[in-house]
Amino acid sequence: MKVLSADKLSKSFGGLQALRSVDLEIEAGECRAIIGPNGAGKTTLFHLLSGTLPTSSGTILFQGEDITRSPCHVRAMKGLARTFQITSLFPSLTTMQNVILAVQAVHGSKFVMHRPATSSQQTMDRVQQVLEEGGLWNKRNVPVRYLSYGEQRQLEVMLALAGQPKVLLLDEPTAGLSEAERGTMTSLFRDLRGKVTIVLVSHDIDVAFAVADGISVLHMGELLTEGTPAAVRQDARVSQIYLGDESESAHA
Amino acid sequence: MMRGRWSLLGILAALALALVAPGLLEPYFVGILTRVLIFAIFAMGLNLIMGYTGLPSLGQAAYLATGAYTVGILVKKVGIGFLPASVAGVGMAGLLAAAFGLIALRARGASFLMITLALTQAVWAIAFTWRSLTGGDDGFPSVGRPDLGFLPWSLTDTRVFYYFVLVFLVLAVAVFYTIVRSPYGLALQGTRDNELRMRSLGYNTWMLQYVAFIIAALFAGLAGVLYAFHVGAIAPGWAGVTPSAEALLMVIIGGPGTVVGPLVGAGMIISVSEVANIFTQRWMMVLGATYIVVILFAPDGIVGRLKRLMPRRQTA
Ligand SMILES: Nc1ncnc2c1ncn2[C@@H]1O[C@H](COP(=O)(O)OP(=O)(O)OP(=O)(O)O)[C@@H](O)[C@H]1O
Ligand SMILES: [Mg+2]
Repeated sequence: MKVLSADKLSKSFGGLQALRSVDLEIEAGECRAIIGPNGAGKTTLFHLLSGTLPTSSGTILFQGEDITRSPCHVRAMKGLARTFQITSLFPSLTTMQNVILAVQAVHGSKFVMHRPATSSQQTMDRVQQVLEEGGLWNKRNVPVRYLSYGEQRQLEVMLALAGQPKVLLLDEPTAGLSEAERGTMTSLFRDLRGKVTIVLVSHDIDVAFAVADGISVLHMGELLTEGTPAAVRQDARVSQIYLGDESESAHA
Repeated sequence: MMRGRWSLLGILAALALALVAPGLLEPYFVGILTRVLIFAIFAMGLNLIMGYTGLPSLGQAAYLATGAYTVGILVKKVGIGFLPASVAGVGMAGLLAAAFGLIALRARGASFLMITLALTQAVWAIAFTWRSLTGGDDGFPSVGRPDLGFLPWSLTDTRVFYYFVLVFLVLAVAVFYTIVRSPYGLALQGTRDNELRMRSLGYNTWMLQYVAFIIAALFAGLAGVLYAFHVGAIAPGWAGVTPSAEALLMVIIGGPGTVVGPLVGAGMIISVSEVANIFTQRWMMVLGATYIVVILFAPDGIVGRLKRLMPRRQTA
């Protein structure tokens, strides 16, 4: 069953056509990687899917419902979560407060004013679980601006996961991480497979090939090709945009 | 010693001081202290939107004046009791914010500052020109003070009135403290830090800010009602730039995003301007200099600075 689909999705920034009529169909439970060179339009696609930028034309369906015009927070409440390529946390709040914000959003206590944020057992149980699974329980009282870059990237993903979304859009989650941190993150995504539908944008083709069931290739705002990792790996056009003409001729 | 215990000690000491102060001071100074308490409530409301939500407003005077004029007009011109009139004063301030918020919250940052200022000017213009209702430039005279009914004290006594205001300040602090620690208060701080991420987590940040804007106006409205009783007369200047700017200074100097910051700020600004007033006509310059010194040496305010000096709470 399709959980998320885009139909002829386009976005222009002034004169610049960042996305051109992109079609995308994500099956429930799938892990899809979206790859493509710098400026291909991957982040723009996520902005449109998550509603952080308005769509120029085209339609987005989430669980069969047209969400093209839904505000960002409405989509999030329906179970469409995302992370950001450039780490996007609440820097002056502690690690635990960051996670509480993510959890209380789905526990429906956003406008509760008469009791402390930490007083709901249900919320705090989930917060503890998230922090322990993410290995940040020991850092729970540290303002996140003092966390290491790797820990911040970890928290970036944890915030999106905390609300138990149906679909998780991950924008370059491993960017700038060390080899070891990348390994931890990759195995986290493997664990998540089947539990949550994942759409993963990655520069790092190795991560994409390691975890994805299917790969879509974006190039200059257009969908170049789509298929299983094996098929995409074979595709001459893909190696061309990634490796350039030179290696193309070397392969031949 | 942990920061939590330090804060508790500090608050108890301040409260004890606030309780004994009137006995030690001349009535003139008790009056000044009363003004400090009233402006602390006023600045606390601003702190909710500025320090906790990230919306610095230069328009809080609109709600101060609305609270004051509403209670004055209802008591003197309509002739209803002080209690319902006061409740209506606070309520009107909230209603006005509900309307103004729809306009002001389209903007952020410096434009928000300018729009809130412009809206205040509209209130000032009404207060200034609608002479039959407000008394215009001559001011709205003799508001009077409520009668405490069965209680044996009279609010016309400077010291009694001080304690009367103190009760409201303590209540306001309790409400404020409860709000900023609540799920909603945390959501405001999240919105201040990163509005886009809040929306991506499922928060309607506009609504969070809108509600905060109204709550801030309720605080300002309460301050306005109390200030009308305190001064006894209301002037259009209450809706001018000066009270808004003073509240802004109080929050910045005391420490935005802290519960007691605006209280300290109110004490600082009012005492500095009172003392400066004795020696020089240019008390505004003295205030400006105070501002610069604080910004240089304590960029996150006096209370923010103190918090940094305290040892962090250790949790095992
Ligand atoms: N807000 C914006 N205003 C104007 N142009 C933009 C904006 N955001 C993106 N672009 C442009 O749109 C194109 C696609 O950008 P996008 O960020 O989607 O690429 P990307 O595939 O995510 O690249 P990267 O791999 O570097 O993250 C680029 O040419 C970029 O400069
Ligand atoms: Mg990108």
